[in-house]
Amino acid sequence: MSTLYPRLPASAANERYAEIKDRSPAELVKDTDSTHLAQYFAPTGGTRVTAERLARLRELIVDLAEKKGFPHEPLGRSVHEFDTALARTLHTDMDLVPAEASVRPIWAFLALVLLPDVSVWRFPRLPGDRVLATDITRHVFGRLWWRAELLHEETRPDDPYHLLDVFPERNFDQILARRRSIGGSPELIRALAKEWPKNWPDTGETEALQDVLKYLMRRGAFQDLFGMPESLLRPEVSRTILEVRHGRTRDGSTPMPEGERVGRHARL
Amino acid sequence: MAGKAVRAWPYRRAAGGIVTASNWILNPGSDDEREAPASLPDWDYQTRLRLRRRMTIDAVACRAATGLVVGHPLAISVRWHATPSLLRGAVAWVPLRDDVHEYDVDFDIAGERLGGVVHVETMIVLAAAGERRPAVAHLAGSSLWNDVLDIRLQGDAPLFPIALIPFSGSSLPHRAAWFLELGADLTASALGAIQLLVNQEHRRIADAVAKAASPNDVDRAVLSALRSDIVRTMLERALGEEEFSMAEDYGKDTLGSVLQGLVRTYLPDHLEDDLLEIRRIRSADPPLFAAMTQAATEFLAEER
Repeated sequence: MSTLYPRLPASAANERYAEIKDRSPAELVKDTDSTHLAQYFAPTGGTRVTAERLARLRELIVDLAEKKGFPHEPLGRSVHEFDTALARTLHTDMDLVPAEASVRPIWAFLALVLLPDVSVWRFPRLPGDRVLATDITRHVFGRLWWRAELLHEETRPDDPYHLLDVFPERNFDQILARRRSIGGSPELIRALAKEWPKNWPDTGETEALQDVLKYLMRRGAFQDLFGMPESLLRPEVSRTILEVRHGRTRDGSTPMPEGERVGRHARL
Repeated sequence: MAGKAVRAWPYRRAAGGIVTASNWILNPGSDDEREAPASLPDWDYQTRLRLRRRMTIDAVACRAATGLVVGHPLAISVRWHATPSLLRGAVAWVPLRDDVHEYDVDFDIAGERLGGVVHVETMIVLAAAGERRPAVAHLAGSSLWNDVLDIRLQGDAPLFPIALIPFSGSSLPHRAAWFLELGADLTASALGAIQLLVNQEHRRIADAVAKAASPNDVDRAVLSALRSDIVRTMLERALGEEEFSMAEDYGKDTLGSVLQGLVRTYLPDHLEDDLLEIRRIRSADPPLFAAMTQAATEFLAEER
């Protein structure tokens, strides 16, 4: 049984955004809530979240933030570490199913009603798309839940989130931006994360990822990249990475070290 | 049902006759066993999607027809794709044998990963890479044959989610009866981009929506007004947005494609000039446009 979260209509979300966007995290600590008058729930599909559960979720997230200086100190260089921990917490503790996690108004509720203080702290000068959920792949919380959903590995019960920190945010954005195509396949994204080289000889990692995604999308038109078992998929992904890497090396960047193995995880 | 040749393939594929596949059967082996329908109105996240079909494939003939070498490994692959989650996944991978022609393919997907429209694609693919030769598939996973089944879960309901809320607690006009929220992005999934908010403090509209399945005359009139106003609002949105075009491909089940469907249904006589004339009417003569949408939606018409 999944948990249903309150949904905040866009009109109410816009109004709330105007109220909070120029306030500080410390001011907003006293202006959080577990309900909103305009909220509504999906009619079926699970049980409605309780006030206690929302309070617990808030407590967990505020705890993570406080360890990084919330509400008075800026997040600074700990962004990646905080986001990774937050992704894990959201995915583990929300009991949310993918279909429900695709509903943008639930993310607007979380960012603007339950956790406006953390939202403003994570994204100072709060851009609208980070909280209004006009695009889940940009949302302060929604994008992290989806990162965890796409990268978590149930077959690794000891550490199902071990792939979460492979890609820095700007690179995972490249994948999330392609959710309608290859970015919607957890199997393909996990294969990419497992085969992605740990050390890049130059600063071209983001551009290389863009090229790899472009080649995979082209191949996906006639090659079954979403249905193949891992034992076939990972060599295909690895080969694509190597081709892109060699292509970029030929373009004049630093050559790939001799004998370097591509990929960071042993193939089973 | 059979795979449609909508793209130019860079290699030979298996022609009709080499692969045959039955229709998918829903809930095989249960009291509810039946041919998979186009929609499942009673589905929810707790319902697993269970399907089975029988396929007949002659692997030897398939290799010969597609130019593959004798013994090249082939497999049946079944994968799915759902909106609005946009998730994709694999559900079956069945290696083919030369001495077996009949295969029963079945799978079971947890409902929590689905929702909206589920596309189930069956493929015959290369189960290993081969040598590169002209006009012959060589990459592992290359598709030699495919077909697709679409099932709409929860019927058409999720395309038009309705929520009852008190408008007094919102920024909406407190005495309004309803408000239609439409997302800004025409390529966004329609399931998340359209939301009808009904004012639960407005007794007449709240009653009419609650009794939509068995309305009295007053409810029927109210629901007719609601329907007509929603259609007009959505058509206004389509026509008012310069970027909206009937020729554009917004993708399946997106807000843009839903708006295109509405234009085709309610303004079928205005498609030839890519909406130029109807856009002119809307801006130059709004009362005429309002009357046109009333007529198209049969506003307050006698029930036939």
